[in-house]
Order: sequence, then C-alpha cells, then structure tokens
Amino acid sequence: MRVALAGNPNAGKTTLFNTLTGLRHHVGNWPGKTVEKKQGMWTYQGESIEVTDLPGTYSITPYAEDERVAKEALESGAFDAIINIVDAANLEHHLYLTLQLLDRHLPVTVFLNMSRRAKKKGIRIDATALSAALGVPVIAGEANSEEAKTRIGRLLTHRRRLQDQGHLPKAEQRALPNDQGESRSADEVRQQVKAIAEMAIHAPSRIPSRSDRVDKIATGPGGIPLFLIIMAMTFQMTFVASAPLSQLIETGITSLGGVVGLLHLQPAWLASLVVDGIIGGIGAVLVFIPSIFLLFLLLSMLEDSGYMARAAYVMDRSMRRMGLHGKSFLPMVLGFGCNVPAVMATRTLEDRHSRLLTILLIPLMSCSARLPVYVLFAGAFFPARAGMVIFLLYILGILMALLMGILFRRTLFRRKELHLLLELPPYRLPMVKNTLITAWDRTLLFIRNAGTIILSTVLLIWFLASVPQGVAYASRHSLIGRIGILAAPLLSPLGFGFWEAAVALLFGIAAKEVIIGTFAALYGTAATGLGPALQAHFTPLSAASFLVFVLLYTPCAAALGAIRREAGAKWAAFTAGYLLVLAWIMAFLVFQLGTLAGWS
Amino acid sequence: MARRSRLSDASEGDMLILQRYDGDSVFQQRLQERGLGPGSIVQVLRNDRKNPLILKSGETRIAVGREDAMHMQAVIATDAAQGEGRGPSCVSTRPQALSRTPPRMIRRRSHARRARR
Repeated sequence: MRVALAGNPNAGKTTLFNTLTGLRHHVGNWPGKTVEKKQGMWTYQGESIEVTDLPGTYSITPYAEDERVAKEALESGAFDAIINIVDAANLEHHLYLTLQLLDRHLPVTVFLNMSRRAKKKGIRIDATALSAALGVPVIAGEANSEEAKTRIGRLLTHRRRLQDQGHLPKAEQRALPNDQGESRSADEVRQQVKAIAEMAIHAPSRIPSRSDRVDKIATGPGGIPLFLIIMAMTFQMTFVASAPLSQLIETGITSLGGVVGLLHLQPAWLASLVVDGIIGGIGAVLVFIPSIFLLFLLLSMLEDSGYMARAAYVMDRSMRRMGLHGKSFLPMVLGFGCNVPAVMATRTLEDRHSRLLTILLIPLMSCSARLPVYVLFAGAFFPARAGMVIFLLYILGILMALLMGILFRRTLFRRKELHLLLELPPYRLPMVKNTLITAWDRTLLFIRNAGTIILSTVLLIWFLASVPQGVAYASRHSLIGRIGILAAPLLSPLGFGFWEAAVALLFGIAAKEVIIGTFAALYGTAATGLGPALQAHFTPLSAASFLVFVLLYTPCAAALGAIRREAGAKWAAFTAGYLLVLAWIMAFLVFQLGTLAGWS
Repeated sequence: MARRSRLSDASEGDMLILQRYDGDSVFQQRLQERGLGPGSIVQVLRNDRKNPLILKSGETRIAVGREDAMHMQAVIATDAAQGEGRGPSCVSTRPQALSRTPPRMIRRRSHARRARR
C-alpha cells in the first residue's frame, strides 16, 4: 500500500519518516523536478508499505516549487492513505492544511505529534474531540517513538482490510478530487480552524519561552556578528576536519593510478584512458565527498536547531540591497561550500524572479573547489600575505554579487516589492539521527547529480587531450593544446596569455580544483613542486589577475548542469557567458591598472 | 473607533488585532493561510525599525517583511476589545507608540480578486 506524509515544515515530518522507514529509503528527484523525493519501505506485520515524504507545505495553494510538487502528488490519487502530521504545540496553524486536505476528500489520517516541546509547555489536546471535529482518525504520539510506528501500522492495516472488503475505495478507484475545495476562501477555513482549536486545545497561559530569550540575542543588534561567527566556525570546521580525509583519498587515487600504470596496459591510449580519464575522473568526485558531507552535516544541524531561519532574518536587510530577501541567503551560504547544492536549494524560494536572480549570483560565492587554487597561487606569490589575499578574493566575490544583483534587478528583473513571510521555528537541540540521515541523503544526491557530470566532463577533456593519436597527454600538439594556443591571445591583456594557462582554465570547467593538476601535468612537476614552476611563468601581478579570473569565470560543469535543470538551458548559457565577460573585465582591470601603477 | 495604524509602527510587546493588508492579492491570501489575516491576534516580538518584524501568532513566530508590514493595518488588542468604542477612554498598553502616525483608513478593492489560483 502506498502512503504519503504531508504536513507543515517543522511539524516533525522528517522525524516520523525516519521512524517509519529507518534507513530503508532512498532520495531521488520528482519527475522533471529538482525537488527532493524521499521514499522508503516499511513492513508492518507482513504488509509492505511504501512511504513517500512530501515536501513540507503550509497550504495546498502552491507558492514555491516544492509546494507545487506536494500539491500535485496529493491530488494525483496515487496514495491509499495520507498521514497528515500536525505538531501539538502549533496545532492551530497546522490544522489549516488538514482542513484543506479534507476539503479535497483525501484519505487523511491525522498524526498529532506530541513533541517534547508541547509537553513542556503543558499543552494538552483532546484527540477524541479533534477526531470527532475533523471526522477522520487522529493518532497522538511522539514522532520518534516505536509506539507511534505501531499505532500507525495498526491503523493502516485496518484501512487496508476495509479497502479489501470494499468498505473503503482504493487509491485507483477513488474519483480524482476536483478543485471544488478551493471554493472555500482562506478566511472561511481559518474560521473553522479557530473553532476546532478552541474546542480541542487546552493550553496554559503563556510564559516567555527559552526561544524568545535566545532570539533576544540572535535577532537583536548582535545578530549579524553572531551569524558571522557561526558561519566562520562552520567553514573552518568543514575544511579542517575534512582535509585529512580528502588528502587520504587523493593519495589513494594517485597510488591507484600508479599501480595501474605499472600494469603497462596496451595500447597506450587505453592505459591513459584508465589512469587519466577514469581514475582521475572518479578521484575528482571522491575528493569532494568528505568536505561536502561535513558541510551538509553542519548546515543541517544549524537548520534542525532552528538557527538558519534567524540567519535569513538578520540578513534580510542586506540582501534587499541586491534585490533579494533573506530567504535567498541560505542557498547563497551553501554556495561557499559547493554551488551545486546551493542552486538546488533555491527551490524553496517563492517567486520565480527571486529564484532566478539567486541562481545567477550563486556562482559568485567562491566555492571550496576554488580554494586550493587560491592557496597554491597565494602561497607562491604572496607568501607573507596569503591569508589576506584569499580573504579579499571571497570579499570580491560577494561585492560582485552585490553589484550584479543591483544591475540585474535594474535590467532583467525590474519588478514590484519583495514579500517576506518566514517562520522562525523554536530552537531545539538538533537530532543526531535526523541530521546524519539528511546530510547523507544530500551527499548521495550530490554524487549522483554532480558526479556524473564531473565524470563525463573529465572524460571529454581526456579525449581532447589525447587526440590526435600519439601526442603526449595534454601537450601543445593535442587538440586541447591547440585550442589553448588559439585562446591564449585573448588572455594576453590579462597578463597570462600563454597556452598552459588557457588549457588549465578550460580544464577548470570540469572542476575548479583541476586547474592545479593541469598545471602540474603541463609543467611536468608534482603538485608540490608547482610553486617554482608557476613563478617562472607568472608575475605577482599576473598571478593576482589569474586568481580574480578563477574566482569569477564560468562555473564548473556540475554547477552549470544544476542551473540548467533548475532554470533551463537559456539561463545556464547566460550564467556561463556573463561570468566569463565579468571575469575578463575584472582581471583586465587588475592587470592593466596594476601595470599602470607600476606593480608589474 | 479603535485606533488603527500601520503594523510597521507597532511597538515591541504590543498585542495587536490585524486588519486589512492593502497589497497584492496573492500575498494577502498567503497571509491569511498563515494565520495573519484580518482579525488575527498577534504579539509583536520584535520591531527594530530596520529589520523585518517578528510576530507571534499562537505558538508560531513569523517574520514579516518591513515593506509588507507597512501595508498592513492593525489595532491594539485591548483597544479593539473596548469595541467600536465611543468613549475617549481607550485603554491601551502603548498608546503613544501607535498614535505616532495618523490613522490611515484606505478602503480598497473588494475580496473578489481572491478567487484565483
């Protein structure tokens, strides 16, 4: 039997889903959408139940992409039962969706989540009265308890039996709900919610909660400094803790390549395909995994704790300067880790314009793959001020986002005001199991979405670097070398008009950190000995110009793929193009102004 | 008549009864669905005149954009409880805060527009 979980964001939907399915679930995309689709299996007394976790939604009227997905799924008639989870501490708000579901004659069972918070607040709910008022079964319990699981299972199997005996229509027999439910106005539904709530909820008089006290700091004048500290710590922890693992993976890949090289595969191109193409390509994906997973873990902890909504709140005012509101901030923060999940995260934004604009600006958030390039160049050319140089690059990216945001808002997205309606969930300790599962799911999704693109781009580049037959890999005689020689004159005004730089930048489109490996291959040194080799080609000024170019130019293939899926091929092409032009102009300014100032 | 003022001018701690929102109808519906329609009682948790407002509605905290709050009318709950009072003795927790701006009573478009998806 097929069951869907529906409910408001923060109702405990994910917790219940994890309780029901444990680790027996997988995450994919809804057909044709980039919205996460979570499905899991659960066997209760021999009955196998397929559970689908719908995106959280406040109402059945869709405003954002994920809400549209939830609405379509609910109305598709594909489910035998719909478990609507409502939080006891927030019942009056959550019943709105419940009534909308009932208006559509959907097979709803209400799960009343008696969260710890509700208990602490002394909120009591008369589940029987609620059930009578709604006319559907109400199960009360804790979303993370085995008892809840059993009771839901019992109810579902009972429903199944009724269906088998013909007392209840099955999913496929039920007439599709028409839109008549929408004839009730929001106001009427609200009135009914109020009446039901008054009857069923016994809440003690309110005392200022702990969340209010934390909010005094988090949303007060100290909110922005606090936010900056939390973000700095998040990224610091991500990079510090994941570095040894990434290092280990890199070493493993390199030695694997070495071992395979010893096999002397024949013909030579096959050996090259395996070592440079396949192993190199898989390696390019694998080295990302520790940092991506850790970043997702920390961010989902922040999300689960309720803090992320506060970050959106404190950043709202600054974001408005570039024509976005606070909610766009979360995707942009993700962009510092990796642009791919950042682009994916824009689906929670309600209006299309904000969403597109956010997507266009995300590549300006310097992702972690660009960092190794900065570290290498800054270390080689500005050893005394390497940290400062890297910091300035991040700031430059943000400034460019601000500037381009204002520009796009004036030209492409001229428009009315920006609405903000943002729930600030109560603070709580993040649940370890939930955050681990969420982080792991997102990492898998990243591997699947980005991995294939990175891998195929790496293979394409391997091909370009290996033809015509018999050339040394990625040498000036290879196809890519020739492209590099053609492109080099375009880079001369920027200070690095030699073919190796052009080839490295082309390779960088596969994944930004590949730039380093390319230089190493072209200059015939190990990555560790790259500093002196670079110093022979770059001056400090042209190195600075190169770094600015790397920061700003065309995003990597995986990010472009994500943009294409979210916004369409047209916008992906536009992003690639505008960033290339912007990078060229900025690098040009750096090099030419620097030359004028006599820094060359 | 109860004192009516823009939500954006309310003071922290005020208990308010929200009145109309005179902006686009889609957002108006979103407000209603989230329990911020006309007649809802909210408490202003934060209004620092720069950032969005934070309202408490039941047990839910919701941030509302400052610009949006400028288009929302509200009356102080205790005020309104006195009814469409005649007497001058409107009891209010923070009368001075709300009287800062003159009451605006714009009656605009009916609800007919709402009937769209």
